[in-house]
Amino acid sequence: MQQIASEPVVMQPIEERLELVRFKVDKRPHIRVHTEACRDCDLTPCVYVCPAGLFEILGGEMHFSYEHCLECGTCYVACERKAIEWDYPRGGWGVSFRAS
Amino acid sequence: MRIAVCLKQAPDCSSVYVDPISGEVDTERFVQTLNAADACALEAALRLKEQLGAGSVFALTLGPGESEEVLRVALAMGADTIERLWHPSAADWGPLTIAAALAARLRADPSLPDLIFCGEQSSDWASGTVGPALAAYLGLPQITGVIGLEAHQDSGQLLLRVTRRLERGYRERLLARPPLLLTVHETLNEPRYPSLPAHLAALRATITVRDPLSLPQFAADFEAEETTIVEVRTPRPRPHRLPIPDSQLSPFERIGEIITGGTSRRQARLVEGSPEELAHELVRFLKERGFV
Amino acid sequence: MHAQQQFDVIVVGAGPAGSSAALVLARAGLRVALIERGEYPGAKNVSGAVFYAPGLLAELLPTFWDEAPFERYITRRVLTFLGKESAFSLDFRTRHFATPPYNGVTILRPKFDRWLASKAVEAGALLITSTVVDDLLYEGERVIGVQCRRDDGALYAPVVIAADGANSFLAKKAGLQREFSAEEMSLGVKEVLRLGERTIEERFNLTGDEGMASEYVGEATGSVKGGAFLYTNRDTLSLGVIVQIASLAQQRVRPYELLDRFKQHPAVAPLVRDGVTLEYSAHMIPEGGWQLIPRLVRAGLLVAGDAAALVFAAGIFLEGMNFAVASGLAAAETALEAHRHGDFSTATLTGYRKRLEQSFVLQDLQRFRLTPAFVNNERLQNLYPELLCQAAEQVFRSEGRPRKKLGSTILATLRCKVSLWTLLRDGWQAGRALFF
Ligand SMILES: Cc1cc2nc3c(=O)[nH]c(=O)nc-3n(C[C@H](O)[C@H](O)[C@H](O)COP(=O)(O)OP(=O)(O)OC[C@H]3O[C@@H](n4cnc5c(N)ncnc54)[C@H](O)[C@@H]3O)c2cc1C
Ligand code: SF4
Ligand code: SF4
Repeated sequence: MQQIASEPVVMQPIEERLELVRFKVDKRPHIRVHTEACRDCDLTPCVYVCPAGLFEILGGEMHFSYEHCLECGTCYVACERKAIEWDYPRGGWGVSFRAS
Repeated sequence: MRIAVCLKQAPDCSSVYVDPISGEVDTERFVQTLNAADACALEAALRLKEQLGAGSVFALTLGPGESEEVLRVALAMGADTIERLWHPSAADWGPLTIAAALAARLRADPSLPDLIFCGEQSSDWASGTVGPALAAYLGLPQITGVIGLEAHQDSGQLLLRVTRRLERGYRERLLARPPLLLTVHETLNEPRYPSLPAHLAALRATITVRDPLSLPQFAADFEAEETTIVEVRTPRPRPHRLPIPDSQLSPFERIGEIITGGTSRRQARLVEGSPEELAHELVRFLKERGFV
Repeated sequence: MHAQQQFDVIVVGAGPAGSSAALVLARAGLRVALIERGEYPGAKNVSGAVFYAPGLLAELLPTFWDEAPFERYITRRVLTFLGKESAFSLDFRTRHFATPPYNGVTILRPKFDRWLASKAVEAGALLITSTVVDDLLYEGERVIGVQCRRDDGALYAPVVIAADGANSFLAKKAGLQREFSAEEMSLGVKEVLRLGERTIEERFNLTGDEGMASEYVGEATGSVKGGAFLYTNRDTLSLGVIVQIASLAQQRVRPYELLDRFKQHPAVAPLVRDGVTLEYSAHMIPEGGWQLIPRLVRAGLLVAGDAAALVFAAGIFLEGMNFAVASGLAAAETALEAHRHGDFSTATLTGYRKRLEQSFVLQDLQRFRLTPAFVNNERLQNLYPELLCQAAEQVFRSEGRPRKKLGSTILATLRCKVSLWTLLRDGWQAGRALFF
């Protein structure tokens, strides 16, 4: 057993992590969010579950960008209101992992 | 109309990662693709062929076995014939020798193509040399940095209206007739997404490979390889010195001064005359400024 | 229809399930199309990744041990219970896992998947990359091909194997799978850190090609249900957290924050010190277990791997790739049989389920079907690891005062947080889920 004084956790901004990932961004978004449904969504799970942090509520409105999507499908499973229209990007586009 | 397109496999820019401290490029994380500008060159060639309703597009690459990928992409997009040149020693060739090999291959046909398209630069070394050198070896006129291209029929002859990109956002419009070599910038167009049957046919195609050293007209001047790479490093942003805007100016003009960094418009002088006179004028100008 | 667009079998997805299936089918001389949406196989795929039971593939590919791009073979397995500032580990190592066919090897998916697919191509399969399959094509009730997202995108075959991974869109479109709930699915986020070969060997006590697989529970994911892992590759580490999506949403924590916390836990930080992050990735895992397994066949269609939720996720176990390979092989054999009889009806294809029932795939999943619910128990997730650490602390603490006997020390620690009754009930459930 180890006991070491705990330091406060330093959070690395998600943008820095995403910089290491290769994206080939298509012009047409592969995910669409019907943001009207988000206005009275209390828990906004998508904001917390998305591993790329692509959902953000600014001034009471949902803002989503598809460009750095890791194509995991988590948001789609988490959104109970089915406000997310989810598809894969065009073949060969989107994210490509190289070192994982 | 016979069109040739020279293609290259190069690491996709978004897959290039440079260690911020050592400056080393991590080649393991490269994703090799058809060089973006070359894809636009191919697309331009295909559109031209389609517009004219006749002709053929020949896609040519010099590269190792893996680079057949780019020829398959070319075939799927609509190239009529494809060919790969390779010799193991070519791995060390610089842009001039590569251009000499491509020139030798194009000379091996009974006649030269009417038009040759190249990408302006590749995403790896971006020397932008292969296209111009190829034009020089073949004795063809050339237009580099093409960002706009329209084809017209002018009394039965093809006339190209070309927009080229100059530095600092300047543009140049030119009229040209084949034979000609064009190097294309990666913003010229959006390369097409091939249909499934074309994609399948390309995957199944067998690709002709030729040894450039066996081409009769291949005359590489290995001595002439003038480039020596001394060092590779990530550019560090140069500190930008901002002049304090003149307080006499209106706020609007002051903002303008801040965002342009106080650079004034270039002093340009238009000189007209025959090519010889212009060349003399140019040399005189360079001497006057102490460049030569 | 062009002859070009007609195949004997279409396999969707060049992951371990799809590529293994395509390999076997192509070897048997069938015309196989292996369709992958990524620019190359592995471009979209993420695992920890320990590939268990690699012997499954080594049997098929005699050159496996010379050629396959694996990183290290696992001879050391560690399970760690993390408290807030303490850690209690079980550390197991054996030389018995150090000879081929190893018990498990670490791999990097982009490399490994590419290689495996290349083996299918060598056997004669046509690998169609950069192509998304949007839907299945039907004739009456029978699946007769797939629709790809390209112009003239139809491809035909009397039997299609859907090995399209965790999202399982094709099985859903075919009416075999339902929509998932956020309780059944987990999200894994992962980082690969470069440390250098020497450092890895020294830091983790390894020699040569030996490797370590280490799993963490408890404080690893804070109050979110899930766990964390840390595996050694040749000169990099793979580490990540795997969390239940519903729990993540309830606790309102972001997955990458959990990753930061895990990396900075006092018991983990020294292991990852000076590591340079090479890549960050994320993927879903169908961890619902037995209840999530869809109907596996319909006329002209077989579902394999993650697409059929064939993942063995039972607490300290996370095995998906070997299940994917085994199910891919079973699907391929079934498709071969169907071709021999020229019969692609549901009745013939049901042989697939039988094959899986006879193999470890469905047997393990059925035997451990109670485990997912058990490991998602709040107390097991957070309380017990913390208590275990506290009890250990009591045991090891030396303060210059008379000590109590160990049994009463431990019981006292436990009893102040849980009732004896709850403890017994959890013990009973642990037994049912894992032991008998
Ligand atoms: C973080 C994490 C850690 C894990 N750790 C381990 C571990 O240590 N050991 C282990 O054994 N398992 C592990 N797993 C589980 C393992 O990754 C999966 O079980 C395994 O990848 C399943 O293989 P598959 O072939 O079924 O699916 P996948 O590997 O997902 O392959 C599916 C393929 O289909 C392609 N595809 C999908 N849809 C389409 C479409 N419409 N058209 C064309 N192509 C398509 C995808 O691009 C992909 O290549 C882990 C998973 C995660 C997320
Ligand atoms: S979970 Fe769905 S409805 Fe709620 S905010 Fe997110 S996208 Fe909108
Ligand atoms: S698919 Fe995954 S990465 Fe993409 S937006 Fe949804 S949750 Fe985020």
